[in-house]
Amino acid sequence: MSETMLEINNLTKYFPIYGGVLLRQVAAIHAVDGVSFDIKRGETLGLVGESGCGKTTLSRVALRLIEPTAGAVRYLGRDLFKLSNQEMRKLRLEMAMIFQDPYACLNPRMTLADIVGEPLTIHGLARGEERKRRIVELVKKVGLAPFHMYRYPHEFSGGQKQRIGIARALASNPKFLVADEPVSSLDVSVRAQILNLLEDLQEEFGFTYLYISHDLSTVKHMCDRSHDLSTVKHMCDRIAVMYVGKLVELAPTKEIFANPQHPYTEALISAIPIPGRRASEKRIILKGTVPTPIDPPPGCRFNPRCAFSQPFNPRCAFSQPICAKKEPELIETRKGHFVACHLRK
Amino acid sequence: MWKEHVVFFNFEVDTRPSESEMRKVRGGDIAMIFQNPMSSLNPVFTVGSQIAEAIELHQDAEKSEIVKKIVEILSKVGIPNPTERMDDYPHEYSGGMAQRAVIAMALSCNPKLLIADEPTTNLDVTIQAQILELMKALRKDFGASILLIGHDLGVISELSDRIAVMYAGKLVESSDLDGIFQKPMHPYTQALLESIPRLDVKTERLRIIPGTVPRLIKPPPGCRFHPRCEHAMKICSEQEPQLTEVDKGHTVACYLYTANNKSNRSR
Repeated sequence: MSETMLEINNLTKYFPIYGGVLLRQVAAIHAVDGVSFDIKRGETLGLVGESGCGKTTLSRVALRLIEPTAGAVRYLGRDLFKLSNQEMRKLRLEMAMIFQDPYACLNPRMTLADIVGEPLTIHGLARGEERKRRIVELVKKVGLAPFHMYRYPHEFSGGQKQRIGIARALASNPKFLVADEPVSSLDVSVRAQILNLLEDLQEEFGFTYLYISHDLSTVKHMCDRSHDLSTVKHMCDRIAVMYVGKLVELAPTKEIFANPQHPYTEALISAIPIPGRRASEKRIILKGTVPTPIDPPPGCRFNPRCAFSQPFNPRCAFSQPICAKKEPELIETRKGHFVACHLRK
Repeated sequence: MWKEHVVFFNFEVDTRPSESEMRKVRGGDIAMIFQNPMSSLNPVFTVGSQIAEAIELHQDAEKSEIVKKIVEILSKVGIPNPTERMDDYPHEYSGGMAQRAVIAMALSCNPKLLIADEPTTNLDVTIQAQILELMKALRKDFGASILLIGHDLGVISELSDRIAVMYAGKLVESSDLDGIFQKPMHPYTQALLESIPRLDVKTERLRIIPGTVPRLIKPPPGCRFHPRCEHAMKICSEQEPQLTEVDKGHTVACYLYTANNKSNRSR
């Protein structure tokens, strides 16, 4: 197995809610709750889940953009939360983020050249002619033209803006990239361009991606690259599924689609309408909605919506199945396939 | 500068209906489900009163009857405890629930035609599956026709009998489900289908449609897709192709398939 790039260990982030006259903490949003996984070098790890399940918070804590409540993140063996600010700043060269909303993540008062050049200036990577040469190189790399350099964000289309965001992320020569829903705000026909660009860049620079999305089809596309295994050996692209702050399943892409173990993953996959096909009778329709992370259900967080965890007799305290009582742990049920469900032991 | 065309509804009206006649049709025989449920509900009125408004406008009903009707329709779209929830404000509903309320409002007057503009775009996939299931069941129960507008080809496939593909203000192709997905004819439809990542088949490399959608202030002459089309011929930039039936029930507006261009037909 190849080297571990990022190791996330029992990562937890609660956002406090203040209320009452004295503004004391009255509750907490359990955004990310004890999540552990690792990302290998050169791998694309897809993180999927419905809105509000903590995907974005997880990515922010993983890059130490916000501090965690508990847990550790190790980047190439170094614990990010034990580093001083100066040390962290140096490490930030190697990690970059591509943001969700290309309209909001670009400063409207800066030109393309300023935006892409800013990381170069901040990290002291290049100045003067060298800086300019580097900006042109980056702009070309993402498929924009040098004559675009002195334009402002509003002069670009959504797809072009996302390209600028990618160019900025590439400026510091990162090794690890977090792409948080990079195509969800783009038009269908533009999505393909950005996804292809991300793939090409990975092939060229050997990036490690954490690819976050709610859209299983694009995640599958990004995390299933067994066709170009020749470039990176032992590369194993995987998908992690989150539900209300918890990791419920983690497995290689092929495996998770062929053999989903968690009832939630199964329902999620079956819920996706497939172009050109009428809905099958086998579709699993989940009841209810995602619970609020302020007061997640006890035991397995999925149990109120799970078809397999119906209490035998809801009025009897002793007949409650284990699902509503004990939180299942993420365990390896077969090689490389982790699942957090009491039914799979 | 708009050109007037008569839109026939039920083929009963052959003159342009007056505004007051139209008001009877809107929300009555033709109802619409809007894209964003949260912004199509009025935040300062309760969900129940907003549904009541539609019923009051179109039907002669006593107040108690209206309340009964609201409860009935809310429970039909799957809102738990409708008697209590009808007095809630929209912000107390989740996205999926608000969409159900909007659907309930549209159905409250038994429409003959339901126009659904991206009804699930803002919803999570598991909630989307619930709403699609609901719309299918309601179509069966109420026997209404649905015009489903959307960009998600998966969602479209779920509900549609026939599919029409639009590009830059023009209809370019129309057929039944299999016609569009198994035998797409228009180069735009073909490219669109190859540019989306699929769950069911392995996508090696996504197809890219070069360029961007043209501005409609000055659309390209001839076929509006020709600047981005890999099969573009001379005639494409000169004359606008007409929708022609080339296969049974399969119409397409493209010179690759019209009779005066036989050499290309065998493609």
